[in-house]
Amino acid sequence: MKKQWKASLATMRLCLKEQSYFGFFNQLAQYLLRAGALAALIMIWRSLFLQGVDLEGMTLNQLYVYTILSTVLAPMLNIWTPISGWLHDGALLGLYQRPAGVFSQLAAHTIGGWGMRLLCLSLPVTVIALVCGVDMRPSGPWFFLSLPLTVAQGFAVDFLFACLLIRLRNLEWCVHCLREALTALFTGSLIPFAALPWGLGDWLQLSPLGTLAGAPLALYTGLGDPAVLLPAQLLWNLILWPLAIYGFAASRERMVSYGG
Amino acid sequence: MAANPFRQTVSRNVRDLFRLWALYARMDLNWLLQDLSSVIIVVISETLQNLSSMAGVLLLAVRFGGVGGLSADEVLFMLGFYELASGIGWVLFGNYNVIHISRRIGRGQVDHMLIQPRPLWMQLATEGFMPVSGSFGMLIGAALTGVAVSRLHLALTPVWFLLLGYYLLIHMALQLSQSLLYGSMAFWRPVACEEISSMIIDLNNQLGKFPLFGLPTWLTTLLHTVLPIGLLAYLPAVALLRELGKPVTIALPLIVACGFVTAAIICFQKGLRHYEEYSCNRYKEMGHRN
Amino acid sequence: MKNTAATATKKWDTVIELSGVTKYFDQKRPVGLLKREKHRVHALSDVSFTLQKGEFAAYAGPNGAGKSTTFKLLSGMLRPQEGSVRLFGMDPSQHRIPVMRRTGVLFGNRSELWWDHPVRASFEWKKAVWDIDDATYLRICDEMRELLGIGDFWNSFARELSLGQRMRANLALTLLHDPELVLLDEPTLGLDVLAKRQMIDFLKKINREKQVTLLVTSHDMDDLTEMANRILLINSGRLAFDGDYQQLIQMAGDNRIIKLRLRGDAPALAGASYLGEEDGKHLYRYDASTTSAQQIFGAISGVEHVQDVELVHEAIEQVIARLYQAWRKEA
Repeated sequence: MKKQWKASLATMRLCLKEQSYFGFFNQLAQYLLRAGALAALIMIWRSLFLQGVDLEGMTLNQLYVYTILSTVLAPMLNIWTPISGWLHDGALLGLYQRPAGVFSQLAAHTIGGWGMRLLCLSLPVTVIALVCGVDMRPSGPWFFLSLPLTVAQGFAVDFLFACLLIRLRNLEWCVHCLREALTALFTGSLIPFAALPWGLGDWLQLSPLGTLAGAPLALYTGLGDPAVLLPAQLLWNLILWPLAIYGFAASRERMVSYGG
Repeated sequence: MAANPFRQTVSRNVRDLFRLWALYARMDLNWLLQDLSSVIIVVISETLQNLSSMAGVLLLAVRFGGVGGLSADEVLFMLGFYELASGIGWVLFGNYNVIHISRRIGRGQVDHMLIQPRPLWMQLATEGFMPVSGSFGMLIGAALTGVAVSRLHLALTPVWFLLLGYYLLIHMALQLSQSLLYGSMAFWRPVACEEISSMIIDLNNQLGKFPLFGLPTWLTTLLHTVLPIGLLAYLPAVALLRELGKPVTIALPLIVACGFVTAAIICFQKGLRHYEEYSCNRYKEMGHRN
Repeated sequence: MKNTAATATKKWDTVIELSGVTKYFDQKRPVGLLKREKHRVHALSDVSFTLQKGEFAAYAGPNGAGKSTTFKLLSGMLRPQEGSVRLFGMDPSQHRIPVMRRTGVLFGNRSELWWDHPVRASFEWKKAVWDIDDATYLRICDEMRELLGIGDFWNSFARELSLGQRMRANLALTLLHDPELVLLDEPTLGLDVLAKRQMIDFLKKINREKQVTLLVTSHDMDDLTEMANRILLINSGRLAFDGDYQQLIQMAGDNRIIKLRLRGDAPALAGASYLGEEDGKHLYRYDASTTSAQQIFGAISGVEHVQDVELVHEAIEQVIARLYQAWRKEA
């Protein structure tokens, strides 16, 4: 167990270092674009709010925090492991040649890749938000339980999409589109569920994708009920992980024979 | 009488363009028809993606009886226009990472273009053509625009259609030139900027669908010039629905689009010269034409 | 002569001309988390050579010697800092299109095949892009089917091909427009014995019958010896040798290997140096230009319990390996 941790940490460290080799200034354009998108979205929310619309009692500060956190924590709220790219270029085979679990290696690669973004985008955005007077304090402790559950569930969802990708191996673009389509709306990362019409948000927040970004953000901002959201997250983890493990095992042969 | 060499070159280029478009159209069709399940999955995924990408704003508009100074039907028109314009752009340049040009550059795959006996502009103009598998966004956009137009009871005149075509062209020019402009950075920073074209297009797709009425003047100016999100659908929608023929709504998009196109051409050529000096020390084989 | 596409006629006999070509890259290397160190890599230094129409030349050198850089310069993908590169009398970076119409380029680690299409589609694509007429297309496709066996996987998806099949398909695609000059970087990579034989025969055939000029790199020296009649050896960006194999062997020393089977330890042989033991035989090397066979056999006749003696030329692989080793030591 200790050895596995050591191996995972070594991988994470390497992935973090790899990002740092690109250099902050080389990646500046990407961070600026993302920060610009966040600023524009905040201004749009502000103008909507100033029209006097009723967002189910949501305050402007809550709306700001929700939007800022969806950018700050984006890599954790919507997990994208490198698996789809690796499957495509045949690099996935390498995971089977190492004395470590495939899932743990993918997790280590993914988590290691977050470092640079958290440091160069998330941290400055949070500091700027605080300086601008946004009250970034969480409304309660439940978020800190919800976030790990979201990350775990996010990995399971990513592996399930990978299984779909393996099944439809010449249609990876379609799987990508499908995933983008589903995550754009149903995870609640862009628009808070409370702002959706016809009570849609009440249902979506309990769905397997809605509990990904929607749950921790709602709990952080005090827009969600922990007694409902946390059990839902736990339940989806218990359902999706066995599915992901089964799907991965069933797809293994196709996975390793890809690419000739 | 000796033939005019300029005219000969032009006619040969036009002939070659059509031949290549026909070739890529055939290849697109063949790809889609690999098997029936592919067709079904492509239809479902493309439709879902196109609908969901605009659902957020539309749902907000429905929830609040309009958003950003536009009524729900006007928002529907704006979203339909965006889908139509980006859908046409996708049909023309969507395949093989032409619109996501930083991927090709960053993956060291410009080499594949340089060994073809065709000008680069011709390759870029034709390789992305996907009239069959890439047409769903365009069709959905056209349908939504049609529904919105009928609900809004617009008076459709030849001038209106002319301006619609004009704004569609502006939209495509802005999307493509931004992709090329920012994507050229991958000539210098292939790894760090490999996905920058995709990022700028995603950013446009995300924010270009929001109505921008009521924003502070400085931000409105910014979003109509330097970061021209407002020119992609919001300003065209306002112009076509409320301010038909107003000079500023015609001149501003043209000026900004010309600026971006010029900057993109200059930067791409500069990047290409850099590539000829340093090449790319990176190569991702499997990504080639995917 | 002014360098324009128009000055390059079909009668141009000098197909490749490199004069004093120098190419270097400035790189930044990480020496810490934030610190970068500037570093200049000299890929080619003052390289000059010409290749005439119909020549078949091997371009060899150790890893990192500058082979790929040369190929990129020849393909117009790179421009030299100093010197000039001419293909058919044209600067390939300025006249890329006319040069590429007459040149076929294949980088062994790169594929020109369209990944998500059947192999056939890549050929049809090339026909349109290179504007190949129907007769040429059909003729060359037939030749490729016969000589490279691509008909076996003509309708398979490129992504489903094995490495050897992909190499064959890539080579066939490279030759589809009937190029006058072919630049091949590691064309035998991943091929089995039969496929390699077929490819070598095929390249020799097009060189002999069509006067196609070929410049080929490979790490398999036996392949190169068999294919090419001229060898260009490059080391650390400099042209270290340009000539035929006989000249190369003379330069490296006309060595012979003696394989001695006997009971007991390896004896010392006057005029020969002991190399080691292989398959129960003791191996010695001597320079035939300074030591005669008679001297060697005289020395062997004095050795007891000799069961078998073999005398062979030193393999070209060993000659080259010795050269590379010597260069590395010098560096």
